[in-house]
Amino acid sequence: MLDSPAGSPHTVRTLGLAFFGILLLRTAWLSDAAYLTLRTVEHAATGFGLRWNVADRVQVYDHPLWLAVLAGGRLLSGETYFTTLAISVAASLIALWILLRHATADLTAVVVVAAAASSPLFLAFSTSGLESPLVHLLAAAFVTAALARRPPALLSAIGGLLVLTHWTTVFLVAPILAPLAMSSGRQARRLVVLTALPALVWHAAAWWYYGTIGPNGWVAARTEDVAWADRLRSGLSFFAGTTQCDPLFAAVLLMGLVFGLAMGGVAARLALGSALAMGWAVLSGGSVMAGRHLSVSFVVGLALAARFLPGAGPWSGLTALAGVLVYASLAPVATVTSGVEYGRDYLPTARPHDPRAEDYQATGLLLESRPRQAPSDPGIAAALESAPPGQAVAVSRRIGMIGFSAGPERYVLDRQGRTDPLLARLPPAVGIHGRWSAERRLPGGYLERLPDGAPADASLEQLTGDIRAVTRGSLVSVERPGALFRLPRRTPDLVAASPYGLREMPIATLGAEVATVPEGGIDVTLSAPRRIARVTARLTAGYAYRVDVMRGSDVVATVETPPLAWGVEAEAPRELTLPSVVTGTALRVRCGDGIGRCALGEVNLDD
Amino acid sequence: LTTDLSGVAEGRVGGEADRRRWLRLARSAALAVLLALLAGVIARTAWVGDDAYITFRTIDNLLNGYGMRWNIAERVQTYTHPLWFLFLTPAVAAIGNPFVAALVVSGIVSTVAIGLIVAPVRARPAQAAFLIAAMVCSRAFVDYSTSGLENALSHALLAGLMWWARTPAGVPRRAFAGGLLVGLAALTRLDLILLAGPVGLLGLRHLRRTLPAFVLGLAPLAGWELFSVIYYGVPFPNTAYAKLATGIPPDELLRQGVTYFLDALQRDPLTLFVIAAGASAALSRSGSRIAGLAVLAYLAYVARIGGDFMTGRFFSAPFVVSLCLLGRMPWPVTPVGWMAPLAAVMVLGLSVPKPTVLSGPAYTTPWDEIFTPSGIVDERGMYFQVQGWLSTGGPRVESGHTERLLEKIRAVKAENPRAFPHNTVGLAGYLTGPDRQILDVFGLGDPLLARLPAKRPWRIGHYTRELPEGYYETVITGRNQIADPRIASLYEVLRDVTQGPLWSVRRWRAIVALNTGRTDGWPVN
Repeated sequence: MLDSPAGSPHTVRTLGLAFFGILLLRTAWLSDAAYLTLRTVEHAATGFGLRWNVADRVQVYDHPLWLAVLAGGRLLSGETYFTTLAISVAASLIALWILLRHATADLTAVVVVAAAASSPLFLAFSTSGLESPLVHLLAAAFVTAALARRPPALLSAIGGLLVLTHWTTVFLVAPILAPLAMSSGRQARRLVVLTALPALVWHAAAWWYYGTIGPNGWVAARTEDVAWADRLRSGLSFFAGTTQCDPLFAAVLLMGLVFGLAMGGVAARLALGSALAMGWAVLSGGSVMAGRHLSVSFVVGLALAARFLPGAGPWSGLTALAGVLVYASLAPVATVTSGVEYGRDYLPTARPHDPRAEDYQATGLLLESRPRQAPSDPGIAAALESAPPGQAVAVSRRIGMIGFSAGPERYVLDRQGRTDPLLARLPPAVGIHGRWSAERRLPGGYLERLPDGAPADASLEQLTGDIRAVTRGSLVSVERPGALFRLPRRTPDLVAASPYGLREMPIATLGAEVATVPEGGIDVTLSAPRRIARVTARLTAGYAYRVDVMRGSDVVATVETPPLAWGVEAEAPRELTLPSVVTGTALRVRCGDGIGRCALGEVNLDD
Repeated sequence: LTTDLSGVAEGRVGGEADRRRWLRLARSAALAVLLALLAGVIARTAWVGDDAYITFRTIDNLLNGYGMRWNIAERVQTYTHPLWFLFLTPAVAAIGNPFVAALVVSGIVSTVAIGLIVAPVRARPAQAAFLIAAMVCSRAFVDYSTSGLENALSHALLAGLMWWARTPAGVPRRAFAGGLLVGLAALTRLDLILLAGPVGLLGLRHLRRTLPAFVLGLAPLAGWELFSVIYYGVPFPNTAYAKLATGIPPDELLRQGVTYFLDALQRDPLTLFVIAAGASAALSRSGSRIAGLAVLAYLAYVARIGGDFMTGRFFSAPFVVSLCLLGRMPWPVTPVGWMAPLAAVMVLGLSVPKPTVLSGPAYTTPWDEIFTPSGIVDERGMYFQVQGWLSTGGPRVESGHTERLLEKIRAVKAENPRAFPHNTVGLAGYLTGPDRQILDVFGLGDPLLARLPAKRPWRIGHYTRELPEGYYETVITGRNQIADPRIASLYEVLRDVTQGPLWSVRRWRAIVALNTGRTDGWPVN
């Protein structure tokens, strides 16, 4: 009665899913970035609307469909942490189940499961609280439908949902849907509408409600105005860092491209879509989180591998399995050994870094102190206590978690401008942080007067007025439409004239303000020869520095620092002790690898 | 015939037969090695937990003529596992040492359990190897194959039931056997009915003919319940009242239950992997869906009651059922197909901080690591050095705490001529002997405290109760001096039920009052 006919590949798939599920639960976590969305979800569920700070209508998330799914779960369960993880785990398991349906042979199923379960980054993004699990699920469904030549309407619908989950997936769906849309007249138009409709409706509604087409982070990024060459260099560094973090992840990305091109037809177009998605991730400068936005290409890679391997000869599967195991062994941390102590001693000195390691000790599911509501981290309480209760608090890191913990009554000002409509429109001040998290100088009196008052700076008056009208004014007021159209045009003028802008000035004197260090280094000239034992300076976290003490044109002493941890608050000057006390006439400071903006400031000497 | 003859002529038939024979022998040898490894791991980790001594005290009292009682003054069922109690009692009588008897009986019963799990797949070596490797690496299974608790017997009965369920029961005799196995499983631990009941019913065909026989098979369970009501006055063990009626809000217990799962996920992911795989496999096949649902129902129950304080203990029964379900699955025949599940087991089993196969004589959990905020502990790690059979200084025949504890008990007895309150009453209770009544503040051995709400903050499995004002004096003097009138009435009812003449009318009225919750206003003496 309980016996079943022999020979079913079903067993391998079932065991594979269970194996992946166990590792998924063991590594489950929520990222700080996810808490940006979760605070909005929490406010929506408690009647404050889709807002991050309840005072402003600001869109801090870039995954509308994921937000809707989370909000639905939150409303049903009345709880955030476990609900988010449960939805993520369910979506990830369904995604793998869909992928395994491509695997008709035992060996192929084993390769797919081994790759999915051994990749630290894929596992990390299979929870994380970000939209990735839903993207994985929809991407797996899209690839399956495309390869099975399902009706174009179905493909379009899934594609539309994918794009609504995260807009960057448009690169994946475009090579499949574009030829369909161009192939016939009326049907093509319907397909385009079907694909684009959810996203168009959302963006129109968001523009009316929030006043921006896209999240506030886009506004902040536009203000930062990083050159495309810099973005590309940064993106390549991101890809290299991702490979370093998880060689298997990168191997599957490339394997998918090769297999897709080898198979041709729809598979080749999927590979092209995957390549475009990767290309955009690189070209846009990447992310501080290794592998971010690349996991959709990983899913495509697995699906294409599952299709390709059975027909590629008896040894191809074994070779692929061996490759998976070898690449998995090259990862700094094996997924199977990841336990409760994961990330305990982690200092994120590299960029990009292992995203899970940074936040696991605050949000990991295995922790005894796992969040019941707000994440557990001593830094969060300290940040909230830095200002009197009821007063706005400005934060530089763990913005999502601090905001979530603050509750709706507290105004949390994100110095990087991702959640604040005014700071997003101010250019980043050079210094403490680098390319991915550029802080803004706070306008005088801004923090103290929040949430109700405006900054004291008269040059910001018009901008502030329009922002207030858009983010706080009545949705149907007469002034608001004008402000909605004016606001995007104000920003460039302001950047040009602003005292908040980036300054590329070399430091000529001790004690000067923070400024960027040019690629060739910077010379700090001393007014007279001095005996120097120590150099103190404010440095940018994440970069290595080298300070040469010069006497004339000779280097008489050198001190180097490894990259400072990003978690370390870099407001305080760092102390660099020379090997011996020397007499010098100048300092020459070099930093970083030429990517991003490392800075130097307030240099002082101690003899 | 021609082919055969030509084969003989070319010497092929004999060669092929030899090759197959050698292959069979090699497979059998490999399985034998794995089974020996399993036996070795269970022997190396064999231990007796403190809670087992709660049962040992009742056995001791029974064998000394005081009846099936923990405190000899009152009839209270402090053991959760009647059938295990009935298994242990003759063994203790024969061997004369409960520590050794528990280990011997556990060893025998676990051997039967392993045999029943592996035997159905003995012709499929890859599948058998998977099942054995899973047992070797499962911390829950290994730890609770001994321990002195009822888990070993649960494993054997559930494995037997799963064997029985392999073919439909269309005749009364087989249905009776199924009912008997379900009843015995429930008699071993009542909550196993959630696992065993659906599997038993799933196996029946021609219900009109088989259902009566199946129900008849439940007679031992019904008989025990009848005895329990007559002798103890209540249908359920006192531990059930102490642990399930604590007054703790369900959402707090559920949260603790989720923590119990997450604790297992951290310490023993393999066990959860097997349970997840077995339940999923069963749910995906129409013939075994109910068995999969039974596993899920049992897990939901475990979460609902807050799990247990012993890590993994409540997962060993669904683990066994899931193993048996996986034993029914068609197994991959390609080398990679059958090696991959085996590799998954090894990877999950060996990547945990304390793999079972590496657990040696020095196994222990340091005191500072034992008590975590969740209250869930590695119970074997806590007791192995003093109550592990082959721990440092072994082989042991009694607890290493005996001498030290006896000294303390002598001092306590000198100060308390009749009774004294105590917690962790296992070994301490056993060594105290019959001449003192122990007021177990966790309520496991005390019928009154079991029915009072737990103090806060609470710890799972250790629900401390405040001694009601006047309760200790009441026990000492025999005169009800409890200040709270409702508690005084409840105590009076309990005294009539647990201490009154077995067949007196007053006692039977008290039994009705107790089981219907109408104890208020009961006359106090």
